[in-house]
Amino acid sequence: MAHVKLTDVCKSFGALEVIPGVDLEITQGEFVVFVGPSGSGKSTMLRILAGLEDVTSGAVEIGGQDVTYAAPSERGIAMVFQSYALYPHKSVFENIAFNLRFNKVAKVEVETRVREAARILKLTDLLDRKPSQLSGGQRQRVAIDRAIVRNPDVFLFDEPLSNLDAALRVEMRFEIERLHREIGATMVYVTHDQVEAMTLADRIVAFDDGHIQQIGTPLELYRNPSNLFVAGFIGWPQMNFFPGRVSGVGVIAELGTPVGVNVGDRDLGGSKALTLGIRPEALQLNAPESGDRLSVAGEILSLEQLGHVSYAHVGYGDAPPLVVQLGADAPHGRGDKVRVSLDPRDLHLFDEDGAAIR
Amino acid sequence: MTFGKATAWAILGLAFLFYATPILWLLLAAFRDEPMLFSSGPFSIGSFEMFGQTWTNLTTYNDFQIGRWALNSAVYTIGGVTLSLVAVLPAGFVLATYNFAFRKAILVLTLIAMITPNTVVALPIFLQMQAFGLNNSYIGMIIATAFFPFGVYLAYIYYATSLPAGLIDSARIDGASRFEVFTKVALPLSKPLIALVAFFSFLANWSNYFLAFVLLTKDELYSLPIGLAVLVSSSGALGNDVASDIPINKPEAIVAAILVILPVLVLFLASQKYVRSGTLSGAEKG
Ligand SMILES: Nc1ncnc2c1ncn2[C@@H]1O[C@H](COP(=O)(O)OP(=O)(O)O)[C@@H](O)[C@H]1O
Ligand SMILES: [Mg+2]
Repeated sequence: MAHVKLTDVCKSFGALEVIPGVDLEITQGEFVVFVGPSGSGKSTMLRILAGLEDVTSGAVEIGGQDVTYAAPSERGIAMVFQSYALYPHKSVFENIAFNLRFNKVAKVEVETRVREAARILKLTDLLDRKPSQLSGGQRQRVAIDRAIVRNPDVFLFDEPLSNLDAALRVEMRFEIERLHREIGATMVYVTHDQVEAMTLADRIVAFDDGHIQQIGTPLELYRNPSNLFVAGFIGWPQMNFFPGRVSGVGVIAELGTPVGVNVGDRDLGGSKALTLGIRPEALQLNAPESGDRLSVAGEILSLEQLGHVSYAHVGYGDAPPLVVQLGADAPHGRGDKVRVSLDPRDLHLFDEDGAAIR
Repeated sequence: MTFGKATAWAILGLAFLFYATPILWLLLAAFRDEPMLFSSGPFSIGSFEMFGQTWTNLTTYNDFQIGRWALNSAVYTIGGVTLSLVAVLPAGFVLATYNFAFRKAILVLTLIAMITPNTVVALPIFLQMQAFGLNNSYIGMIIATAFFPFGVYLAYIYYATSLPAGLIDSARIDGASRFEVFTKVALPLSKPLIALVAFFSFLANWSNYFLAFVLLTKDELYSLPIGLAVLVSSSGALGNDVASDIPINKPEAIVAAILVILPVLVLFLASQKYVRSGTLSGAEKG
């Protein structure tokens, strides 16, 4: 049974339609990540779940209850904000206890629940401090603890790690993942960072322009993106794209020179112009020639060496360079003349509208 | 010290002297008697005895009537400040944080009311108070001075710019009602705003001359500025020929002026600490 269910949810701000109609079901205990570029409506969706924004039309259900018009505090949710949103005039303890005070929880119980929550995120020693005396990472821990203490059915996170530096971000990512494992609550997590999305999500919901582009496990989205947007958004460095077309019975790829490609039994429908996509790790440099591999000659314009892996940007003609993933100690350098090749089975095909052809 | 810095200091020093001179003169003049005011140099120093005599003249006038006026002023001002705070803070908060019909219109009206000189509305207010039977009363004077659109605007700006929206969202999720968001989150974070509104409201009420002049006709209800003005003009203290037999002359007028500005100075010093304190640090990133 769906734990969180959105039915044809639409949201406009005045004349600006931000969410044109979204249906989504989230199961109990699932970790769902909303990912998409900035301005794609992720926060708005989350705020609709939280009850901080009214829907223009549609329905929101949580735990089998219709909460479309329920107040935020009546939905069994807790939310963690990118900006932490701690009460600056209250101690860490009182920040965490604030909600319990509203619910007239007995003093002794407040004490035990706050201390238990503080223990989970290692805040016990900081309970007497004011938010201004905490580091960014500690503040975000308090914000998360404030959610934990309420024991909510659904956790909502809106880019909780975006204000932290890289090392802390990784650490907090593990903390959140551990939290999900420990308490098993449903979590909805908004981010524009696809690494967070890939590592945390049971399922990713990819948004663009208020529309859900694809829903699936991280690997489904990575391996089988259902359209150009998802293909380009998930995965870093980005998937390489180049044009192609359907001619007679086969597909012609514009890779330097037009060249026929064997795309197997994929159903091309009636499409004429195509976009072909290939992941950097599916490209090879100077591989032994073979009949069914596609290849193009080019020159290494730049080489990004990350230590464990390197990325070569190979220019050919006046097309955008192809990014090729290399082993860390591949014997290549800038200016080398190379031959890039690929196995056509690794190609992603997209029709004129950007929809994947499988 | 570079030449540029020296120039900056010189300009600041000159400006300071220019504006501080009259105040210094006023403070020194309080220690001189009438003959000395004319005979000695502008910054010459009199004596405590001379000040004592002036003070006695002023306070014994009409059985210490200026004490009564000072008390009246305090009642009007404290009442006006309190009532304006009670009205202004929630009004600014709601205007800044909720969207409702006519919100923009109300803001525009507030601005218009703010720039309307209070001399223009004195007569209508007088008529209104008369209709309610409230002129020549403490309540009437307090209600009239509590009208403080500038404070509404100040509060609106403060809540719109300094109160993070996330805090309000957070409090709503924590279960606070709209009223509780105001009382438990916004209000505790409003110390600088309260200090600022109270200060400006105090300033406006304390030295409010015209409205008091129009609304109050009984001398036992006079505020300090009205009372002193009436006293000084009726005694002819500021004329050059000593006309009346009341011992109210130029030194008394000078001390009276100091009496009026002293509370403003004290309040300014007391409130500036709050105005500058950073109550909101730590709410968000940073
Ligand atoms: N309160 C609001 N009033 C008007 N427009 C808004 C409001 N909140 C968000 N928007 C608009 O809705 C769109 C989606 O915003 P948002 O949900 O915050 O995107 P995301 O979180 O994916 O970056 C943006 O174009 C934004 O400008
Ligand atoms: Mg957002």
